[in-house]
Formats: sequence, structure tokens, C-alpha cells
Amino acid sequence: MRKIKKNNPILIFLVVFGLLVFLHGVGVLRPLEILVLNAVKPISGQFYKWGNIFSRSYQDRESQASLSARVEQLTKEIAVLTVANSGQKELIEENKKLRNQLKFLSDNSFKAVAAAVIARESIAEDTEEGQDLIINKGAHDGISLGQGAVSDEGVIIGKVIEVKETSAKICLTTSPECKLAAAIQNQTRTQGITDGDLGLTIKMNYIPQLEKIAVGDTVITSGLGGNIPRGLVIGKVIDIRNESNEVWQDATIEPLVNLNNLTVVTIIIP
Amino acid sequence: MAKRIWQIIILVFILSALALIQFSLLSALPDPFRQFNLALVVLTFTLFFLDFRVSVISALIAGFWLDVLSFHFFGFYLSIFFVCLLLGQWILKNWLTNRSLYSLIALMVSLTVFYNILAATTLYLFSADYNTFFGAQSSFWLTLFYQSVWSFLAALILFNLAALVSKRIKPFFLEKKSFI
Repeated sequence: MRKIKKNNPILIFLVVFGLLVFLHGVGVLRPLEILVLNAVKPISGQFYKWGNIFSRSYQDRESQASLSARVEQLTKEIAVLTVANSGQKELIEENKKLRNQLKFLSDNSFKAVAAAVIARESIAEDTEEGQDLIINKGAHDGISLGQGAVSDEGVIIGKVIEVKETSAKICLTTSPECKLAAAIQNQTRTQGITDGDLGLTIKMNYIPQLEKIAVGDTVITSGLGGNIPRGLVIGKVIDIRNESNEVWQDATIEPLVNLNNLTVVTIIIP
Repeated sequence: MAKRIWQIIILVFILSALALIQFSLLSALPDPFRQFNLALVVLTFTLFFLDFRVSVISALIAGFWLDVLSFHFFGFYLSIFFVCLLLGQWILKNWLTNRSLYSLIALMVSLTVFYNILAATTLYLFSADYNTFFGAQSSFWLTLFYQSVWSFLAALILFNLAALVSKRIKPFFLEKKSFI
């Protein structure tokens, strides 16, 4: 019979691997993992920032530098104005309802947790289209599944899809897996569900033909069926697919912020 | 003994830094830079130039870090790195009998292809988030292409750097001297 050497690297690996998986499974490793994660968070954040700086400069070099800066500035201005505008519209609507019902409590009384992005999950084995962000706040900070994440302009950029003790994963609105209950700010307040399209834009399907929507309409969160409050801007309608022989129409929505350069996000805790 | 402990401490430090760079810095880069699989390149390098034992310890360290940091199930990176190293060792023993540049390129590219297929298959079979078969997704093949190109370039650069530092992989020619 062939003898197995005690210091065989395969044997050593299997023993250590089995031990690590077992200890992780029973939760013994958790304090160590939290300690390690907390210790490396600042380093991860710094690495991510450096990567992001390189990414920005690379993107700027690809296009004309001055033009891209101008476009970015204008996009930010549009985002801020759209948020302000939609906020006003929502306030008017809300005010009407509140007056009607004689209730004066605001629905927008939510807590917010600011978090830094420490990584993007788009590594080799992740073959799904779109990317997820990993942030440095988790269950310890009150973050839970389904909560919305907004950019510094106040535009919703995604929602929490996985939570660990000290970190969380956010899917971006342009990711196919990221579904949000939404409403178009038109006359009839068309409601539906948005999801990402090829990691580039957002789409809203199954809108009844009778609903009147137009290019330029603002799309906001509807606040239905989840932890995301109503009135957060998702984007603007840039294209409508409307066939006369079909029951439904589809809208393509453009996000108002550049989702590639996010370094800080805010999680809305209702 | 003390020397060995120091070697392990240095290895832990270097591989932890590399795992963090892979996780945070490379992931923030634009395509195609983000497709560079630093951890796999380093593991293949240690397998080729050092020995199987060192590469297994390296896989344990890098795999543990990536498993703790990422949102895949625990043990994902550890097991995949280990299987890749087993295949690499088998290729080195049975197919690539010398330590040439061509051997390193062949090893790096073949392990990159194997890593991607194994990782995508594992996620497809064991993760609820991945419902679409990876072979039908263009992003998978594009990623595989980019990673293979990066591995090829990494093999070229690393071999030449190692040749500058070490005498072990310098070419050796038998010359017949003429006395005319």
C-alpha cells in the first residue's frame, strides 16, 4: 500500500481548506473575518479610488477631454435640476393628497447611511452583463436587502442585493438583475418595473398602449413593494417602442448620472 | 526555522496585498485592464519558477482573502485555485518538460482558459444568481479572450524579468570550438 506523506502539499491544502470551510460554516471564523475586513477597508477604498482615477483619465483620453468635462458638468446640472423638479412635482402631489386626507406627516422621513465603494464585482467568472458595486457598510450599519442606493446628486443608482456584516453588494440600475418599482411622471402616473439593459441603459416593459408617455418624461421610484421610498429619480425616457399591433409598449430610460465613476453612495434606510 | 517563518510571513504579506489589488484596484479599472487576473498569474508564476508547495500555500492565502472579500460562496476561490494548480502541476510534469518561455506561455494561457471555464461552471451549478449558461454569453468569451491576452503578455514580461534575475533559466548551448 502506498504511504501518504505527512507533509504532502495536497494533503496540507485539503486539511486547511476543510478546516476553513467548516469554521466559516459554523461561524467561528466570523469575528476574524470582520476584524480582517475592517482592517483592510481603508486600503481597499484607497485602491478603488486609484483605480477610479485611472479609469476616469482613460475615459477622458478616449473622448475629447474638454468636451467630456463640459458634458459631465452639464449632466450633473441636469441631474440636480431634474431631482429638484421631480421633487417639486412630488411635493405638489403629496401636498394635495395630504390636504385631502388631512394628514401632515411626510413620507420622506428616512435615515441615510453614506458608504464608500471599495470594489466592483466584474471579475472574470462574473459573466452576467452589468456590474455590481461592493460598499464598505453592511448589516452592522443598518443596511438590509432591497434598500435603495443614491448618488451624491440624489439620483437612485441601484439597490442592495446582498449583505454581509461589514459590507454589502449593490446592483446598478443598468444591470439586468436590478428591478425597481417605478412610475413615469406623466399625466396618468404610469407604473411599472424597470430593469437594466446590457449594462448601459434602463428599460421599462409592459406599459399598456393606452398610457401616454413621451420622450423626456422623468421616471421615479414608485415606492411600491419594497424598501425604496417614492420619488427618487431613476432617469429620463429617451426612446419609446410603440407598435400599433401590440398590447404593450416599452420605454428606454437613460440614467442621469455616470454609473462608472461612483466612489461614494448613500443608502436610504426607510 | 526562523528563516522559514520569515519567508511565510513575507509570502502572506505579498499575497494579501496582491489579493487586495485584484479585488479593489483592478476591478475599478476600465475594460480591458480590469480583466487582468493577477492572482492566477502570480500562482502560475510560483508554480513554474518555485515549486508546488509554495504555490499551494500561495493559493491558500490568496484564495482565503478573495473568499472573505467577495460575495461568492466561501471556498469558491480556494477550491478553484487549488484545482488549477493541480492541473498546472500535471501539465508541467507530463507535457512541459523544460522551463522555457514557450512552456510558461502555454501554462499561463491554458490555466487561464481552464480557470474561466471552471469558475463559470461552478457559479452556474452552485449559485442561484447565475441562471444563464455562460457559453451562450458573449461577455464570457470576451472576458476569456482578454484574460488570455493578458496572461500571454504577463508570461512574456515575467519570464524575461526572471531571466534577468536568475541564472537557472538562461539558455545553455553546447558549442563545438574550432581550433583553426
